[in-house]
Amino acid sequence: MKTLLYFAFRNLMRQKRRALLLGSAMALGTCFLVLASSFVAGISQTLFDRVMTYVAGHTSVIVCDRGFMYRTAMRGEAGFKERIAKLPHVKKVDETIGIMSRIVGPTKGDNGILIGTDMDAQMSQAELRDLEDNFPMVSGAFKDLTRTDVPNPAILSKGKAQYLGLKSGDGFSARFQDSRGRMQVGKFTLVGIFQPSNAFMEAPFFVSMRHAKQLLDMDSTDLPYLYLTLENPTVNAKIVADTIFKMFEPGLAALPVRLENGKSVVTAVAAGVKADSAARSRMASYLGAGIPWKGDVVALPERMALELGVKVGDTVRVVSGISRGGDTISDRAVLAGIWQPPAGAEGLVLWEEDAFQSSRSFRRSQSLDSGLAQAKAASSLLDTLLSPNWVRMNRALTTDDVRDQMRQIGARSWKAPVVAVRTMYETGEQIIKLADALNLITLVAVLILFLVVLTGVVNALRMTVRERTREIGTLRSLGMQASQVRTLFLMEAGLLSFLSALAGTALALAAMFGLSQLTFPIEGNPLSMLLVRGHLVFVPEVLATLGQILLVIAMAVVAAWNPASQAAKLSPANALRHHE
Amino acid sequence: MNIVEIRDLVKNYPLGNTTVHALRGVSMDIAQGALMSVVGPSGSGKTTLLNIVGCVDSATSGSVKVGGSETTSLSDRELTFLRLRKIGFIFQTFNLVPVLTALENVEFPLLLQGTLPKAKVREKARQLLEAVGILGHEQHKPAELSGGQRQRVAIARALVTDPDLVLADEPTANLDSETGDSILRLMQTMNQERGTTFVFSTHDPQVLRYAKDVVRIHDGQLAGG
Repeated sequence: MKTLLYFAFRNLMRQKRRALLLGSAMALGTCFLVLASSFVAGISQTLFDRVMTYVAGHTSVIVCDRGFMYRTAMRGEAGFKERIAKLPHVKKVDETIGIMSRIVGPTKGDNGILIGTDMDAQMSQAELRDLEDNFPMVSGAFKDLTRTDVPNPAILSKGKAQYLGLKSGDGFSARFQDSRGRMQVGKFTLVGIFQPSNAFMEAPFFVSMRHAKQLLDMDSTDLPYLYLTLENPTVNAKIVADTIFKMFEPGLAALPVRLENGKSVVTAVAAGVKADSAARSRMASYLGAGIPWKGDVVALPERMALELGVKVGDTVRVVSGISRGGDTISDRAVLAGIWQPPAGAEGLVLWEEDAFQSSRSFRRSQSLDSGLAQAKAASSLLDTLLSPNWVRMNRALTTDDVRDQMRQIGARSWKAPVVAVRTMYETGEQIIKLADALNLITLVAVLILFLVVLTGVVNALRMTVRERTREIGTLRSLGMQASQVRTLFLMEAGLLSFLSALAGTALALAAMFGLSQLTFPIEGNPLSMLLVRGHLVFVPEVLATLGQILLVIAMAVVAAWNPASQAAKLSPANALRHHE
Repeated sequence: MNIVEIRDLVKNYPLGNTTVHALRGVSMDIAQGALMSVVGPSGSGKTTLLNIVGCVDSATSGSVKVGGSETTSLSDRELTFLRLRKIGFIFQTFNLVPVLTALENVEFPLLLQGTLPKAKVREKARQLLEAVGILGHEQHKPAELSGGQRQRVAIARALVTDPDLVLADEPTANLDSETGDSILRLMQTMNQERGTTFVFSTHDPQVLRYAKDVVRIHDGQLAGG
């Protein structure tokens, strides 16, 4: 084998001009392949590590209060963030707030998206730099969002600030719906202006996460949207999403309440009971047909009704805790009927689901363990009628599934809080498609390269075999086996392609260095999203490059197979007679 | 003892719509240690006979035994192996590998055999080059050598594997008479000193004086010896 390799190398040097021409074509092809692949890897890295983390997260947890699409919080479940942060492959968990708002300047108004930016300690210098790369500042800086000397520091895009007639330091107001569905008007101070890298980046209206939560009436116990940054997102996004999906296994909900009728007071636990037509019909069979199970109604165990001195049709006051603002949350509910609780649920009040979940949403969270036991005991009788602690939406597999889920949320198909776990594959399909398209371009480049190699190698080897027919006859006469003749020619093609691929890779690395030194304007450049600080990003990966070199060699060897086999099949006598 | 035994050897070539009868029932023996010349005019079948004896061409019919092996029943792989081990070739046009030096050309068959370490291969090749009188030119490529020097390298290459039989197809045809004589004298010396069997074809009656045995061939048939 060593002899053949040496011989092959010497043969390669024989036709220097031909080898140089073919080698140059292969080197250029390899250069293009490595360059394209590194560019795609660079863009993919930019898309996945920078753009996707802002747009949708590699994996995301979407929540909404009682099915209201724009009330993006799940009350009392903030603990999930820490649990998710501890999962394998999770690099970072960002709370995300993005609310449609109407910004009003001195002369005009315009729509914008109020975005909470976490400016607290957990943002590293690199992350801050990434943020400023994506939203290059014309004036001010993102850290100005933490200023305390002005009310609600905010950052707007250059175009929006100009349209609204605002400049740095000006005050403006914005109208938005808070997480409880109330319309709010906030006063803000413009502390920074950024140059959007493209038209999509015009809309954000940044405030610090702390201010955003206050403005939206969310506190530290609330779980907002979570956007996850993962290690190796293309591999792990779905795995992590599936794990989180399992973490959100729904259970039953219960709420400690106090029932009052005049001076009579009873402490109890309430469970929500659905009120759709099927549920109404079932409840009628338990309670009798007196008052329909609809609106703000309760059903009490007989002993409790006696203690309170109420009968069907009377109104009771249900006090369900203290609101976040410190007020007592109370409600007047009609006693729709008396129910017979199973063992263990003797202190359970059944409450129409909408009113029940509304009270859950407004109260300050506290331990519900004692109440849950009663709700669970009641499930032997009421099973599917009981309201859950939250509704977990099925894992969306496609963008269409996500659209369908959004429609269902919009139609308020659920009364309980809703949680959905998604990956970038469903939410950022357009970006994934862009990455796929770039990969397709690389594939086309490979096919063109293959065609060049195929044509070049086949032609060159055919010519070589023809020229060296007599020599093949001599070698066969001297005792070289047919298989060794084939190996010799394959080695010549392999060696040429190997050396060419090495040269092409070196050329590609030099080109990458050169191209990455160029600075492209960000302003008005629709592709600036793919640049990092105005520079193209190339990510040459060692394994991928080795794979590409092997691919070029394999293509050359495959192309050489036929001519090499033809050479091996030559009869020694005929080969010796060649040109005679 | 015969190194080659040929019986009723027939070789036909298709040529367009006709058939060329290159050999028409040749029977002959070549004794171990012979220095035989096959003589005949161009187209008489000399090269065909040598090619079949040298296992580079196949017989249409008949029997050919080389070193006791019936070559007409061997596979291509076995025939190649037989050539590598037992037969050396010297060609009219020298047929040296142009990219290899004189020394590497001589080493090549031994490297194909793969039985000797590299140092031994080199030593043996040098000895042969010395024996054929060309030691000072071992690093020269064939293009840098004269016709006579190339044929000496070819003889060294043919002998380096210690073959039982060396076949030389018109080894002097491309050489001037003085160089041709020196090549034939070299073959004669090698035959005497090493006992190697040499069979060479020629159409030049002048070279016959070097042969111990002469076989005449005409129109594919032996004419007597």
